[in-house]
Amino acid sequence: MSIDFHLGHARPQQPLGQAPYHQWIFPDGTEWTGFYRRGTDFLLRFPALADFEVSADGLTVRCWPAPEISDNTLQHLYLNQVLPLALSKRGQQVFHASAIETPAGALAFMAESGRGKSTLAASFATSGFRFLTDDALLLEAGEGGYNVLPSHPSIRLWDDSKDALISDDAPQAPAVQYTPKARILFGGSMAFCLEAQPLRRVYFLGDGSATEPTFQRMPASQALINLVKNTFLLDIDTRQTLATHFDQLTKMVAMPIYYELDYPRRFEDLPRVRAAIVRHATEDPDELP
Amino acid sequence: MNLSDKVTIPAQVMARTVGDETVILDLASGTYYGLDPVGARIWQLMSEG
Repeated sequence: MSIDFHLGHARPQQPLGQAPYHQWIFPDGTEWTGFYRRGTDFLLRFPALADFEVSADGLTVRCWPAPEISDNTLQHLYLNQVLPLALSKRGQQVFHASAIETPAGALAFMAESGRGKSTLAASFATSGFRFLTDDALLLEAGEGGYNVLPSHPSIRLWDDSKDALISDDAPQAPAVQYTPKARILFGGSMAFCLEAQPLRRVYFLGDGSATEPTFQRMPASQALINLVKNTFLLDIDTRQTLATHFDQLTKMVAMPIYYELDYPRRFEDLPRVRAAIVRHATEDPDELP
Repeated sequence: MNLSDKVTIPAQVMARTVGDETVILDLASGTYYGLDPVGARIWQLMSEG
């Protein structure tokens, strides 16, 4: 699917004179993103960074950066935040999740921020597996299930994960202006998968209290709630849009592929965590507890 | 509340059945609820009026 992107001149962000219909808020209470309606179009404001206008049909995005915002920062905002929301307007299913390729199929790791989905994906991607996405899991319906489409070939990591997993000579993108995380590009020791892969499992990551890798099948109702919570969705206050989206997710959770996964968050445990996950993913869901 | 009161489901609330459970989404508050089979049956009766 092709979405047109237009970059406008840098301009200071002026007050919009209306309240957002939705916001993404940081844990400290500050606003990360404000969602506004502009006629039938949408405006996404990232305070002090950029405004993005998404057309009603989701096919055109116009960007006006705030002064002195780097192209790299804009590109990252667009690819990781705006594009998934625009795709949702096209009826695509996009989730906050990382994903990797295994011989059994694609495995997705879904969790709230800070639970290690990027670290886990990077651990696989530097251990002989290819990663499909770091943060925006894009699915399309396929034969007998769903396929995971490749996303942007980079993974963002905090310094401790980067130091533990990534070699010094790994290619890195320039830092972006809103996070101290390093952005590691594929190449070197990190492998990226360029082809869509059938979705085999979705693992919702626990809080790290487990002392061993543990897997528990998630009831469909709980999986549905978790998918809703982790969805990129632009048009969230239109009943018909939400009803259609809710129906699509209800269909998705009919598959027996959703598990809660918890494991100790120690870098030295990652090899056995990976092995346990790969083993679990190869097993027949009908024979798993 | 008394026996003559009638309970209705607000327009901003959607429900979907998955297996023998029901998930309710309240669009106004953005909150989600899961109902077990007993709750799902009560919900069904409410939705039928």
